Amino acid sequence: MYLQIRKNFFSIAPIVLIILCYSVVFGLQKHIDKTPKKTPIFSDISYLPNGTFLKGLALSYDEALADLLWIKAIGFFGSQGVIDKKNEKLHVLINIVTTLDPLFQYPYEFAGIVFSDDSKTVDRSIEILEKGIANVPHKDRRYWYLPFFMAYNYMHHKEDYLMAAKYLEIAASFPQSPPYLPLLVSRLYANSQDPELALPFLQEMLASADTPERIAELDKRIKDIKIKQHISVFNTAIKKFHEYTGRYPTDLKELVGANILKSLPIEPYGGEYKIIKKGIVQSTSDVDDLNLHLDKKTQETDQPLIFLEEPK
Amino acid sequence: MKKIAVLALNTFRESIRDKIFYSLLAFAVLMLGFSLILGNLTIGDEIKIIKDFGLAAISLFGVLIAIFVGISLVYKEMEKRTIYVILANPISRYQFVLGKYLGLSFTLMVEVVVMTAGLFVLCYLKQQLIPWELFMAIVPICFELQLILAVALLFSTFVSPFLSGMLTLAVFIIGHLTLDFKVLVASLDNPALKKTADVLYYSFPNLETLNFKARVVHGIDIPWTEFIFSLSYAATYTIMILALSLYIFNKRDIR
Repeated sequence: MYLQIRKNFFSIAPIVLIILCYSVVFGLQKHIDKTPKKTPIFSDISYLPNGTFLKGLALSYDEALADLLWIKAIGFFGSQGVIDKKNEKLHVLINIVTTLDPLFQYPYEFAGIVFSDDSKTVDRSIEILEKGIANVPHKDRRYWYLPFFMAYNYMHHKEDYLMAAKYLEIAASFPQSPPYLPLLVSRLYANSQDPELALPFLQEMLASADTPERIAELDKRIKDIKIKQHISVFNTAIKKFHEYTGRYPTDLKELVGANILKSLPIEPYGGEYKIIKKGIVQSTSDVDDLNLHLDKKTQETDQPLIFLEEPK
Repeated sequence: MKKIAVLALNTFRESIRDKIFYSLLAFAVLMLGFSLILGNLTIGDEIKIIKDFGLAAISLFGVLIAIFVGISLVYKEMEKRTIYVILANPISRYQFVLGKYLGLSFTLMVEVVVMTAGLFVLCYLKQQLIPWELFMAIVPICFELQLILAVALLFSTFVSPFLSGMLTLAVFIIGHLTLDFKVLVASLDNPALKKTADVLYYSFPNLETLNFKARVVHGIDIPWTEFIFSLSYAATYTIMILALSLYIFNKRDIR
């Protein structure tokens, strides 16, 4: 009888002990989780070794490690808001992720957008996007976003329209990019010092356009750019005329007469160029306003990132 | 040849019954499931995470099986003295070693097939498409596993399983680091270190030549010449290590 009880006790006791221990472990874990932490969970990120070192350490599992850190970066960005306003730690994480898996497009795009939000961190955005442009395969269906956001940085923060146009031109060359991009490129070129740079690009786009609406749209933009270019030449000529004669011409033919212009250019729409007031030349045709109107104040609020839209 | 096949089949049966094999396979399948969870946590490109983790699991658990099961291949037979029974039959030592190798090699292929099937099912569930292109990464992984298995077998012929495991793991780690080390040292002005890097680079298998995972997942074309050369490199290296194992095993005094 005693032996039977003893045998039963030893067969049940371990199970009871396991259940008891697990309850204690579970309770303790709950208690630990409830205790407020003095240091944020992700505070150790800056102590992570750099990407090149980790790449060696990952022993060919670089991509899986990059994925884990990428997910950590997303979680970190979502939870740290108040703690890391300049996104210093996010920068560290994204640098590691993009070194471990340089072909992975999303981290570049994500960091490119996050850092372009503030003019103080825009250089980081440019640095990360440049790295992405150099490494991400062109086959990637979201590749065009990288030059696109790069153009945004140059246009909005640096006000370098020529660079912006160059990057947007790259973005526009990808079939996945939206059809309005070429028009935006020409607008940016028109705002740079060299509006004629837009012409070869638009002509190339025109050659590959496949719908009558698109052809008409691009054709109109080419004509608008030409008019802008002609007016720019007139402005320089009028300045010279003013320097030589001390007065402004009343008719454009005077510029040819004074040997400043060889001949008057033909207005692409079939209209005429006229001097409307002192040295200001305008076309009689209905030409689109190609100037960029950036509203810095509204762009720097918490509004979502929106690229310039074509006027309707 | 028939004798080798019989030995291989026997080794395959033996290793398939091994608990380590099943526990590792279970963990590998769990890791595939884990990739599904991770895929849901990311922003966009879920399939990329699934493929990355799937390929990493095939490779990592394959290496672990090759090491943990491979290291005791010959040693266990000697310790249990069953080798005398086997070698008392008209079986030469080289047939014994090759049979053992091929048996476990087949076990590893079973692991790869099971994992690949699992990965393909996951990919199919996510994008209704079977990513056949992943074979461009899986085939080199198979070759890498064969090489690691040969290394494990080599050590198994003359050292204890524990030491053999450590040494095989070291070869695996060094094999993935030699290229980095060589590139790193190339930028330094230390001829002695450069020489050491060169010696290390040509003494150990460069396992990075078999790493096509990133390029395959990102859809970058892999030149056929590079692919074929890499597989030939691994195959030749494996044969060389097997030959070395045979040589050492033949020289061993088994009493």
